[in-house]
Amino acid sequence: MSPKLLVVGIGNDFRRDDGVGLAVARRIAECNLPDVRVVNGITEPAALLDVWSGVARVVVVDAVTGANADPGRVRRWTGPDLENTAVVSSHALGLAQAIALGQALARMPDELVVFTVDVADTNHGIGLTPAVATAVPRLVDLIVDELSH
Amino acid sequence: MNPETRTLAVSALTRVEGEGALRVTLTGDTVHSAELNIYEPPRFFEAFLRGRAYTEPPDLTARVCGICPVAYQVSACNAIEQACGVSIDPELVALRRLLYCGEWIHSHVLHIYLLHAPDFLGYPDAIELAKESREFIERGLALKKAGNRLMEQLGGRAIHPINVRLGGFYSVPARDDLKPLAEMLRKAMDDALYTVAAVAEFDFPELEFDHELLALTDGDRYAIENGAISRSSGSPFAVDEFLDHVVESQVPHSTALHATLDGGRHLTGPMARYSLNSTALSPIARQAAAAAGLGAECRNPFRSIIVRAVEVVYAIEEALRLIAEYQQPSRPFVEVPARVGVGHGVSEAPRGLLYHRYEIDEDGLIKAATIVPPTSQNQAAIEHDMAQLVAGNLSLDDAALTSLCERSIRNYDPCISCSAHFLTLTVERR
Repeated sequence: MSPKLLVVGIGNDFRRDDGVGLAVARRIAECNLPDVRVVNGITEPAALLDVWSGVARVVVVDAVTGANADPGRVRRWTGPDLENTAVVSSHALGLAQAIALGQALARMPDELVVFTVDVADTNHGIGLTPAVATAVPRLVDLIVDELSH
Repeated sequence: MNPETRTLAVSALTRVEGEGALRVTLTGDTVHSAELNIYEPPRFFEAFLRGRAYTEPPDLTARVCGICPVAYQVSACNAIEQACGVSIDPELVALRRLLYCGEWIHSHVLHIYLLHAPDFLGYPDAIELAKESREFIERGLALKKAGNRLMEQLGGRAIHPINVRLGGFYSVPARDDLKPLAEMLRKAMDDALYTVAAVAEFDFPELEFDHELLALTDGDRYAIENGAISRSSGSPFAVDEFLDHVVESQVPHSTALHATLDGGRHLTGPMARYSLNSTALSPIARQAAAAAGLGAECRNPFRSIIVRAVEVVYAIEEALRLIAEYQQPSRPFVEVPARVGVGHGVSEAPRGLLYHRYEIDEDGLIKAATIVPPTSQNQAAIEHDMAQLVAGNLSLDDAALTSLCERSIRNYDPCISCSAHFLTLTVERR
């Protein structure tokens, strides 16, 4: 039986700020929220479709990079924004690709919300940079709030 | 502007594993060079393994690749166990083989359905293909899931398994734990046979390569988790002599090393494996190969998609056999005490022969490490195919020629790294 709520953290702990999605998802898991499943470490679109198929509400947390990155900035994406805006995930996974594939196969959750964090450093190494680390508790609060209604 | 000088670039091609580019230079009918340019930064695994405990390489090197971590774990275990003079129990070897079958299924099906099939069916990517042929992609995803489940059950998780250790496993399943897997694999067999029949219907451009083939053989079994080194024309050699024959060198246009076999170009991977092992296929896989029109050898790189599909059938059949014969091992692992020395290990990663060598010092630390992955061995063959294809199809316009070159790269499922981004292709005509 699929849970009604799912939080997915995407990233790599060994590429510094790239681990921010995982850090947030681990904190959510520690909250032991009722009916909320937390999944970490998915690295390919097909696996994402497997975990979110049939789930009512899904929250995905991922790191983003880019020319205009403002490290620590948190953004919330949903509905048409997700389809029409190029949410450039820092991952091979290609969240946009997973969404497109999920839509083509009609394997999307009822509601998908993506939180992204702008990152500063994705070189080899562990630990988040200060600006990105401060985003973690803020994002945890946002997600807990998101899941509570 | 000189009308004979043209440059074509393709960006955002997402169907190879890693970051690379290709540059072909030709004047008139002469192809000057065809270079696979891998520009991903080097990853320094061999350097940072030095000084680590001899027990660590299976977990550390698993991180080289998100698609084929089991290959890295098994080649590392084989090498270190050899260095320490330990042979593991046959039932633990069987369990390793079973885990490896899961990786073959998952990796090959990913390539067949999501990366390679769009080339033959005329779609830019798997998403467009899924829009038109939902059932086809659904079937691929279901089949891939069977491989993932097998890896989860034995490895603890599907990506970078955590249950593998020197000497065996941290924990081993009970016989009953494997029953649901067998049920799932029996269903997957139908999808696997469908896959062979479906890809055999594709149109294959004409191209026959003459690369020397290098793969493992394993008595009367199809080689997977270990074996002896075998080749199509030269004399076979012992695993310990691998680096005397397969020599890596740096080329200016790539951050990956290029390897040669006794100074010549060679190929490892599904086509080499199939051509040197086809008589060892299981009955259903052999039948499927014959029905798909494969002979004892396969030397048309475009047909590699059929070989991968046949290997998926084999991996499922083999996994079912291993599960049927499975008795819970009396111990999950054999102790592997450290010993000063050198060990060499090989196994057949989905993309080909993967060699590891470790030197262990008196403190049980890694003194030296060498890893020769399949893709660095195959680069010369990929470049050679490309040059041949361009030379044989000069009448095509740049767009068609570019597309053919891209396809020929994907024939080899090159794993440039585990972080697939895009490949840029440049054809320069002078």
